[in-house]
Amino acid sequence: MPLGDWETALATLVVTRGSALGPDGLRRGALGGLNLTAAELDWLGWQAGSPGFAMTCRIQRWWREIRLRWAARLTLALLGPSRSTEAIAAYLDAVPSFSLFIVSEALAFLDFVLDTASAAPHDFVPDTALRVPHLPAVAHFERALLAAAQAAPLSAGVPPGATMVEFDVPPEALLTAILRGDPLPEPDGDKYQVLVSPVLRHRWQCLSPEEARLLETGCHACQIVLAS
Amino acid sequence: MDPFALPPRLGVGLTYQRGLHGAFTECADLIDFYEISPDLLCREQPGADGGALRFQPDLFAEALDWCAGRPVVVHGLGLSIGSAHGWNEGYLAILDDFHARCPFAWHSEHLGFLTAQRPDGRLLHAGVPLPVPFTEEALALLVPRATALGQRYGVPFLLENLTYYLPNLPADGGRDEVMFLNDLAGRSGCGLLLDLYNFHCNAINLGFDARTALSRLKLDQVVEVHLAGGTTHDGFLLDVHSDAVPEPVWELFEWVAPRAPHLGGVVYELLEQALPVVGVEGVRRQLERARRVWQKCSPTARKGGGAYATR
Repeated sequence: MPLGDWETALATLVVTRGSALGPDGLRRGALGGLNLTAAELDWLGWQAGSPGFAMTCRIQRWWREIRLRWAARLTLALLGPSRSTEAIAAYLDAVPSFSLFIVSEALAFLDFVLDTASAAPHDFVPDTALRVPHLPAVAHFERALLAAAQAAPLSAGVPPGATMVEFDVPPEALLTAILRGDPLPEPDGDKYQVLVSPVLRHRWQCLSPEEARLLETGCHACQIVLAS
Repeated sequence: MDPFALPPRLGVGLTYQRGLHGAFTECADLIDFYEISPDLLCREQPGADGGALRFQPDLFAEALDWCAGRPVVVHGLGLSIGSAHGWNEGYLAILDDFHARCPFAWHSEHLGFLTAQRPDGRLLHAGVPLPVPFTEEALALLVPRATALGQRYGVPFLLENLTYYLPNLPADGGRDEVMFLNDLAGRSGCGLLLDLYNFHCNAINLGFDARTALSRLKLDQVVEVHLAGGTTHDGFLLDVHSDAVPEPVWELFEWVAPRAPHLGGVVYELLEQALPVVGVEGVRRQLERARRVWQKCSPTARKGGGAYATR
């Protein structure tokens, strides 16, 4: 078989963990457009059943999980051990591999968490799995930090736009509680704004209500995220 | 066939990662050179297919500062030299940028592919390096690419043998992995980065004798050796760079080193996340042992740590 088709077939099998083969035939689905002989399809089918293939697929998912656990620590700490494992597994099943870069993978994961947390319940995510207090704010905040790191100027010049994230509780108290595993603070009725920007020291800072009002009215380059 | 370019003799090296700075300081007297992966100093700008790569200025400057005063070699992660649809031009762009700012003694990549092309033309990312088949078609793809990379910067280009877990890869001409590496090196003139831990993993996982297989390898084109340790899972030995070098791998190195006349250096690979496991003292022991083998096999090497004993 042409080398390109062989590589496409093998990579497709790894990405789909063998499911691209289909239940009754090897010519359907993702492998349908490839120029493969019957013998080659037999080899692929045999490979997909081998322990070595299963290990290859497992390694691919491990590396992706390692990247997420390194880069999305706040959000995963807030979710807790079992929900974070569920969220990672659901993400890996839903979003095929697309990059070896940690930040790119983490951004996609946080987008997935945010989309899932705000979506109506559906089959692969239990109703309460992602209904976690403060999750949208924390995931937005962590996403903004990663995006700010990506957007930091490569040379002198005007930095790209900032992101403002709104919390229901004092952000420093919430983030400290998450990192320490302490009980989370309860909302007190006030709103708290955090500015995330690549030019800030530590890339974020809390804003006073006046500062937040000024930025909201004057900063057209700001992406305002109302996380509640 | 392009002539094989002789490398400089550098000595014993360590992989550069930010989390290993403590080891760099404590083991400075044992480190002759650093191996840098430019990909780890980059950010990825989003794009339709893979995106563009740019160095992060602070990471790049920090790496150059830590490596100052010692030779540097490059070990890439993202070129995907074995991809039939095309290799990663974005990676070559950053490699050009890196070379302009920090010339390297040689550069290397993994012998495998990361990406393929879907039937609709879109990019498919495997997420893990996959092996190429041991076929004439694969050689026809790889030989000109390896030759071109050997000419690009005027320094040797090396290809590293992968760990892989898939049995019975397609092969023609009676080839196995060793014969394939020999054909590739022989036809292109590229050097070999012999990862002895990867070779050991494949021998254990796929069932062959590593020493017998190595005796057939073109050792005169081995420029660099990688040493590492890993872990076992579900009966497979995994290449994770997470531990000290196991004794069978040391034995392979002790056998290979005196038989590789153009060996330019040996690198201990360790993931920064594994430093707490191995410890700085553990890193010292790996470097000390590698140095003892290196000095036994290269009598012209300077005693006591090479030319770059102080930072």
